[in-house]
Amino acid sequence: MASSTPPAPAAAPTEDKAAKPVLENPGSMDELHKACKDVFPVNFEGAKIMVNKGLSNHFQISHTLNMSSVTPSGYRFGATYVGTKQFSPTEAFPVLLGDIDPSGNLNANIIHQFSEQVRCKFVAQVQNSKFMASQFSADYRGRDFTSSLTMANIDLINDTGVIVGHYLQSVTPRVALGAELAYQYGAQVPGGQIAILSVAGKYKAPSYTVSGTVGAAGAHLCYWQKSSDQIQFGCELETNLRMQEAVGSVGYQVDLPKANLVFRGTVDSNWTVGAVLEKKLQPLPFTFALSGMLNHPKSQFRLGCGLIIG
Amino acid sequence: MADIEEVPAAAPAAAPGAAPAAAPAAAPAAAQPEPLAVTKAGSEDPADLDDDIDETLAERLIGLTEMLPAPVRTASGKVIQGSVAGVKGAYGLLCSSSWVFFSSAAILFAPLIFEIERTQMEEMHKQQQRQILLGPNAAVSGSMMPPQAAGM
Repeated sequence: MASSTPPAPAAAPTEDKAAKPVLENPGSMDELHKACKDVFPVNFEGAKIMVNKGLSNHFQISHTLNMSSVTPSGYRFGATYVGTKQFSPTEAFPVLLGDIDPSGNLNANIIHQFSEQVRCKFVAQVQNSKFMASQFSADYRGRDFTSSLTMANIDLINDTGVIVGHYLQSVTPRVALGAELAYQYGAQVPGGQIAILSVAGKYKAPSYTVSGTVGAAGAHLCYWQKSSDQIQFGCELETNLRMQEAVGSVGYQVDLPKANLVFRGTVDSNWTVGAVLEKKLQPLPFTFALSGMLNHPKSQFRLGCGLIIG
Repeated sequence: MADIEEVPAAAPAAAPGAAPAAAPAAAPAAAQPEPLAVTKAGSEDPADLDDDIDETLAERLIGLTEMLPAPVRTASGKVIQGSVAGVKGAYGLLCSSSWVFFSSAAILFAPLIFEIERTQMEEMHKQQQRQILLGPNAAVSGSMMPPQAAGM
């Protein structure tokens, strides 16, 4: 039978496809630990009332009243403009975000995507009429890699600044490896300039993700798991070699859409316990947030409550 | 006359009779001024009498400790002090660990559990309302209305 030869050429292309799995873009280095960090609550103190109003499809403003004894109380006005260039149903560019308070302290973000691959972001913070921080970053998303360049606090007059370069490559459909090079130059830096290299890796399985960054400054390891539709766990270990300390924390997030509730809790190795509860008060578009954080060694408790209207 | 002679004869007869009777009576009377010698049975040494009178109650109690040898005394003292310190430490540990446990549970779990209970109660209440309104069948198939309607 001449059946030995025809199957061979037919088998070759399928073998080729099996040997080269499709690699996806691994996301940017900033988003490496994002899934795990989202599980942890962001504790706040004092009362917060935020009124969001959408003036049009593209423009939204917010008024925020912060009343607290730990952070200075005040009013902030925020505005968000979303542009017309749409790359996907959820993302539209450019995005301009800003908020300002009556004494002129401003935080501004400008995010723009020039093409499918290139995205730029500019962040500025102005306090007391001075640029406290400014950062410009550009991302290039290739087919299976992402590289980005960030320049922060570039001061041409005093010749100081920080330049950070990231590169993250998808090695297998589940594993991504990358590196980060941070370069700081200036008069205050011992020796005039300093560069720190760290390596990063991410392993993404269907129900859990392990990601880590290891460098001269320390190690940061994260584990994220989605146990069910309703509950997610995150576990994080941060070590700082310069300060010779390490902190481990475990957090969980419970989503109950039936109760319009999102609850996040965390326990620390510093014996700190914190939780944030966010509940949508139907039928009005109100969201109620309650935050509590208890530091056992210092015997310090911080309670915060917030109401978001709109 | 004979009576008078007999009486004086009897009197001297009685007198020597009374004298020997008085002598033994005088002997115990002479013995009575020294009563302590009678209580200490078998001991006639007057030197022992001084120790008993001078000791106070405290000295007697302290003297009782000499009943036990020194190692036994120190060991039992240490055991008792150790157990008192241990009980105090255990109480303090119990206090702080129950505080940590209950306050952390109040922050981490209490709001979530309350909200879940409230949602369940609301769900039950709605089911009851539906049951009252539409009859017992409606409550059973709360979320499966279309199939049952199709089946009917």
